[in-house]
Order: sequence, then C-alpha cells, then structure tokens
Amino acid sequence: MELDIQCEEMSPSRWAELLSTMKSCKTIRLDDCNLSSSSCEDLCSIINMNPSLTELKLNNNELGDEGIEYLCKGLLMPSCSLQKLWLQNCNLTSASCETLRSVLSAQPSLTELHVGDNKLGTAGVKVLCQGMMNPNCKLQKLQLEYCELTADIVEPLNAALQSKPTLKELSLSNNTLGDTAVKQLCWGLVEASCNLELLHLENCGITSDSCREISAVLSNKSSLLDLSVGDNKIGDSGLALLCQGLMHPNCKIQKLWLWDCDLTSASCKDLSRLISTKETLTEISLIDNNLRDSGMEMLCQALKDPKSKLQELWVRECGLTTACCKAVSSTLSVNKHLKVLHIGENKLGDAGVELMCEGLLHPNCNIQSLWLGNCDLTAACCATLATVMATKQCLTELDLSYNSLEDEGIRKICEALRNPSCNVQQLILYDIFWSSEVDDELRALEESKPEVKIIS
Amino acid sequence: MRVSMAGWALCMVLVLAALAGTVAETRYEKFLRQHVDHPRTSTLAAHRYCETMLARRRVTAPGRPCKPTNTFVHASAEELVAACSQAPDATGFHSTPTAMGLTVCRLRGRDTRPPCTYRSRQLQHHVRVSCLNGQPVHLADTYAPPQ
Repeated sequence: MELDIQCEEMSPSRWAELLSTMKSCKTIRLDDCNLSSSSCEDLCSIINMNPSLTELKLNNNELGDEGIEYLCKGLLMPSCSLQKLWLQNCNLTSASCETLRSVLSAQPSLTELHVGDNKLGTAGVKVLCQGMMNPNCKLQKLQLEYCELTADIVEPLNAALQSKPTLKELSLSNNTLGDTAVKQLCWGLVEASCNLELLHLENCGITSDSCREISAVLSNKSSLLDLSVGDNKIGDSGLALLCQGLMHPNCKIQKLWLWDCDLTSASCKDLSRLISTKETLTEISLIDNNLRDSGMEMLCQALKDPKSKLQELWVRECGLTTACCKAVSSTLSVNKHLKVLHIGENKLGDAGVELMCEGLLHPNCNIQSLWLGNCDLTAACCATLATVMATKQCLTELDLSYNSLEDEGIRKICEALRNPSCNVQQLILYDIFWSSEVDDELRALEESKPEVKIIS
Repeated sequence: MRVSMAGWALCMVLVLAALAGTVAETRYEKFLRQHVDHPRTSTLAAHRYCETMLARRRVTAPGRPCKPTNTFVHASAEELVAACSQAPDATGFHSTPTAMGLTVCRLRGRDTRPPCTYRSRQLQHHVRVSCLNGQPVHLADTYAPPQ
C-alpha cells in the first residue's frame, strides 16, 4: 500500500484519517503538506506500529530539528526496517545531524538518505560522515544538494567513502566546493573501493582546473554510469580534459550531463568522437551551451556512425538556427537509435522544422519524443507536423510550447490527433494562445480520445 | 511555513473543482492559478520559490513534463484585468498600465519530468496579456518600463 500526497494542507481530521491508513503503508510520501514537528510525533508512532514501512518521504515540510528528534526515535527502533528517507527542505540545521548520525550507525536497512536543501553546513555533514563510517551503515545513495557545504567537507567525506563499499550514488550539487576540494574528492573517489554509479557535481564551482581529476575518476571507475557537471564553467578546455577519461576503454558512461558548461562549437569535435565511439553512451545533455550550427553539424555527423547508440540528445538553447536543420534531417533518416530529441529554444523556424520532418518521415527514424518548444514556429509548419504525427507510429510525445501556432496551426494539429493512425499520447502546448472555439475543440478531442493528454 | 490563506483557499477551490469535474476551471481561473501570486508567497527555502509555487499551483505535477518558463505576477487579479481595458497593441496584446513585481521561473538542467529545478529572477516589468471577454487568459510576455 502506498500513500502519496503533495501540496495538501492537512486539517486535523484529515491528518487523523491519514494516520490510520499509514499504519499499513509500505511507502509514505507527504510532500509540502504543512507538516510540523508535532506531526513527527504522530509519525514516530506510525513507524513503531508499521514494521513493513520501507519509504518515508517528507520533503518540503517545516519539521525542524525538533521534528527530526521525534522521527528518529521511531527510526531507531529495532523493528524499523526503513530503506529510503527523504527530508529535503525541512528546515533542518546541523543540530539534526547528531540524531541522523545515530540512525545511520544503527540501521543497516537504510540505503537512501536525501537531506538536500537544509542548512546542515560542513559541521553538520561532518557528523553524518561519522555515522557513515560505522560498519552497520550500508548506505547506497546520499543526496546533499544545497546544504551550505564548503571545501572542508571533502576530508571527512573521503574518509566516509573509504569505508563505504556499498555507496552507489552521491550528489553534492549546489554547494560551493571549488576546484581544490573537487580535486581532493576525485582522488578520494579513485582510492575508494565503492562502485560508484552516479556522481552529481552541478554548480559546485568547478572549472577546467579540476577536469583532469574528474577524468581520472572516469577512467578508474568503470562502475560510473551517470555523471553530471552541469552549471560549472568548465569550458572547451575542461571538456577536452574530461574527454580523455570519457574515451578511456574502462569508462562505461551511460548518462552525461554537460548543461550550461560554457561549451562552444570547439567542444563538438571531442563530443562527436565520444558519441560515435562510446557505445555505452545513451543520453547526453548539452543544454544552454553555444554550440551553434557548426557544432551541431559535427554532432549530426557523429550520430550517423552505426557505432553510436545514443538514445537521447538534449540540445535545447544551443544557439542553433534553420541552417543546421538539413544536417539534422539527414541524421534522422539514417540513425535508428535516437528516441528522444530536445531541440527547443533554438531559432529553427518553420523552414527548419519542415526540413527536419523529411528526416522524421524516413522509415529508419525511430523518434518517440520530440521537443520543439519556442522554436519560432508558426501555423505554416503545422501541416507538415500533422503529416508526421499521422504517419510516424513511433512518435508518442510532441512539444510545441511557446510557438505562435495560432488557431490555424492548432486546428491542423488537432486533425492529426483525430487520425486513428496517430499514436501521439502527450501533446505539450504550454503558453500558446488560442480562441475559445479552438479551446472547445481541444477539450472535445481529449474526451473522444482519452489516451491523448493535451498539456497546457 | 507562512502560507497566504487566501492563496491556499483559491488554490484548493480551483483544484477541488477541477478534480470534482463539476465545474471546469475557466481560462481566466487557470491564468490566475498559473500566473498570479499576490502577495508573493514566502517559501520555506527562498531559493526554491519556483519549485514550491509551481508544484502548489499544479503546473508541475506527476504526468506533466516540467514547464520550461513560468512567470508569477505579484499584483492583484484586478490590476491584470485592468490591462484588458487598455487598447491592444499591434500584435493584439494588452499591456498593464504600470510595471509590477514578477518572478520569472526558468527551467534549469536537464529534467523534463518532476522533480523540476528552476532558477528565478525577480523583475519590475509591464505584463502583456491576451484577453477574452475582458479577462486575461494568456500571459504573452513582459517588458521593462521605458527609461
């Protein structure tokens, strides 16, 4: 049994009602429900009464340090076998860390701890690390985003990592660590015996200076499947260094997030080589990097290589124009693996999309999800889009948000949706203006074809 | 956490009505839900204003991809309705006569599915809307007051 509630202010009677259902729930999620420390007292009893509870997610409730004290009383019971604990944005401070430390030291069932968005600070997380050192702790996933951590956290964190072969996922995003600390962290990760699968270091103050060390993690840890260094000014020189590790035969990377990394078309040579040779790479995000048409053309060439197994390409807001669409189209007519293409926030224009549609229509193309939000599209390209929708049975999701399609364009899209051979299940139309008549038409369409969701 | 009771009340009425399916939300009501937050809700984590508000207003919800941009206007509904009585510009949009406090939420990172992460910017801009029957139903864009 699962309880999953979000954004609901609880009246006392509603709370009492929920408490009785919670006694038999395996998973409980109460996100932004105006819970407080007194709610934690009640939850403590629930935890005591419910030994089958495996997941407790209480993000975005002002529980405070006092609340955590109550909660942990229940969590420390031997009967408790909680696996996943999420306490993001709960107004916790370093004072909560002592209590959490005791849970980490006592409960080998706890595999996941998410405590981001709490002002735990370096001092607080240092205490958590002590808890992790305990051999009873079998933590696999640790999320410490926005915890006001500083460079000083790396030493105790490395010590904890050395002792934790179970650790698979680590997120330190949005903490001002800086290059020196990140280098130290990387050395620690290379030394550690853990088979780390996911490492997120977004907005950690990383520059090209620490990319050699991150590269070393990539070439040493074949277990690493998911790396994000988004929102760090690594630049083209940093990317070149990262690619050394990425291209290493030991590196089995699957998901690579390089959004807003100050990359330009100069990075696309290395990125192309990566895309066309790293067969494990299934997903790459390059959002908000000024790759431009020349860069995109290089990537398109790489995607034509049969060795490329990339399934998802994210090039939203990359400074692309109509000029690269011929190359994109050509790639789509050759590449059979690409399933998801995010190319919104680029001035592709009607002409660009018309070109892309040629490639989309090719029988080789297996695109399932296509994102063309804010691409300067008008009603003019909707006839061709409609043809793609009605012809490509593999296409199940289409985003046309923020384009001035107008009534004329929306009507054409509706017509395509009504076609029985159209398999689009999700049509995303955020922030487009249409008349009341078209609004009625969209509602009628949703009613007549309930498998279709029109999102606006 | 301090929550504007009026804001919650509006939100709950709209959501319950929509869920009950008895009275479908009008386009004006949807506009208010997605774009008006007055007075500006103070959230537990200030840097999570966008995430919190977008979730509370059901813009971000399970089964819905993350909305790439959303603007919250910190002015009363009446002030936005007043825009509709202004003469429309060449593109058919109506501008608010005065600049108003806004928070522009822009999607960051890579996620299109919840949890969605946003960066926020606070501005003092005029708001341009599309109107139907004298009520705003679409937020077209915003612009800085001419110096």
